[in-house]
Amino acid sequence: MEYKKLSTMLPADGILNVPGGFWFIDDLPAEASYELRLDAHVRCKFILHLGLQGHRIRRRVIFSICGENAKLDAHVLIQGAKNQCIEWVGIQRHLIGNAESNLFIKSTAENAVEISIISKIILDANATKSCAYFQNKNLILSNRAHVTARPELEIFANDVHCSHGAAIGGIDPMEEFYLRSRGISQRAVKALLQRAFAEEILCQMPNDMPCNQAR
Amino acid sequence: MRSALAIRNLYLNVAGKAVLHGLSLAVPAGEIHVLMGRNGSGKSSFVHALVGQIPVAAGEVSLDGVSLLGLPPEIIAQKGLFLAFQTPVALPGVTITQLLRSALQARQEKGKLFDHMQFHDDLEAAMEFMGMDASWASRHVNDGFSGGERKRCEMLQALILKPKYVLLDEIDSGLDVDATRIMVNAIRLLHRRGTGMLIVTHHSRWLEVLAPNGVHLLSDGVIHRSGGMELARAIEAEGFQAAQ
Repeated sequence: MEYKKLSTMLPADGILNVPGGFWFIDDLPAEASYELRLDAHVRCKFILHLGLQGHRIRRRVIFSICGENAKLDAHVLIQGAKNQCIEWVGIQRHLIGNAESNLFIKSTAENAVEISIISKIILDANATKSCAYFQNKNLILSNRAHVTARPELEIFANDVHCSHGAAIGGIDPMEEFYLRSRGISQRAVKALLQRAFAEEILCQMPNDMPCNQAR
Repeated sequence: MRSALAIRNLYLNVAGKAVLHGLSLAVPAGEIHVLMGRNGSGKSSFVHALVGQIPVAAGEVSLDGVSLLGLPPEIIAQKGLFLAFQTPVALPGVTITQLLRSALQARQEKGKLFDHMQFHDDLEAAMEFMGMDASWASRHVNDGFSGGERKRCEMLQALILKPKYVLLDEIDSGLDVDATRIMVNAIRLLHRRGTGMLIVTHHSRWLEVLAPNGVHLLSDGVIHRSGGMELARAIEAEGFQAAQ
């Protein structure tokens, strides 16, 4: 699939009726708010990396599913370093049924990073036979780092498939020991496992994205 | 003093329970030794203690005269001790190439450039020796591997990292006949390179072809009896009770 940068497509009012068949890359500055609307039969993939935009980063994104047979796959990777403060507020709103949305967010927090992830699925009364999923995994790499995750559901329709979940944890001590037993320093092990955690989303990002230059 | 992995009067407690009570054992450089014992006798705890995963209560562990006690696991590994785990963990997102490159780079002398071409040539040759397809290099370590594949991946790492001493914790368990043959050949290759080995196993038959220098029976937290292949055969034929 070809990819398009949001910075070149987003209208002044921040509402974009997305054409299907593309990857949409969020390349907007540190603070941004927008709505992506998917009409009937539109299928698109959305990619976002947060972490390189500045000290305070904030995203408010509404994915509106407006037509039947629309499908959204959204992948968000948040990588906080130093004492960054990063906030994600997302809404998957299904206004009509027979459509699907998947939002997958991963975050890593080092040093004194603060990350807040609030994500809500809203299924309107007309959204029967909708499928909406939200999954969030967070890796904390320092005692001073802080991650808050708040997955929410509001379902007003019957006959729907819906799931949401969030997990926050540190590095698995067994994985850490295994790598150290191969002679790799604790610091290098941390970097390796941090990279491994992000790989699931990083590998889907185009090679020319700044976060992917070192791959 | 002869080079050896030497353990003297080792005491070990696991979860408040005394597991080893003054165990002593030496694996001289280039020799193959075998450790046998009942389930739960402390064999795995013992080898995990040697690589720094379980703290030692008392005693001494040295590698070629240098004490390993209290050293972090990465330093123990860099000094030349390698443990092939009985149940290696999966590392999703870390490829076999990444793991081995990081491990070799950690051993690299300061100021010396890492030879990527040599690394890839060595990896390719070792994978071929272990009966692994070239695509394994980009597979995530042990992620989705069968038990036998995990064991081969452990041995692949030993072949590439070239440690002085290798601890093989039930490396033969769960292997089919072909994989067992590959494993035996890999042990022979390590032996030819002069690597000292301590093999923890429950089975003696596959040891016949390896002709170990010593077989040791761990019981009641100490080496209860040492001998040659006749001891392994006796354990296989008559059980631990009779062999004691």
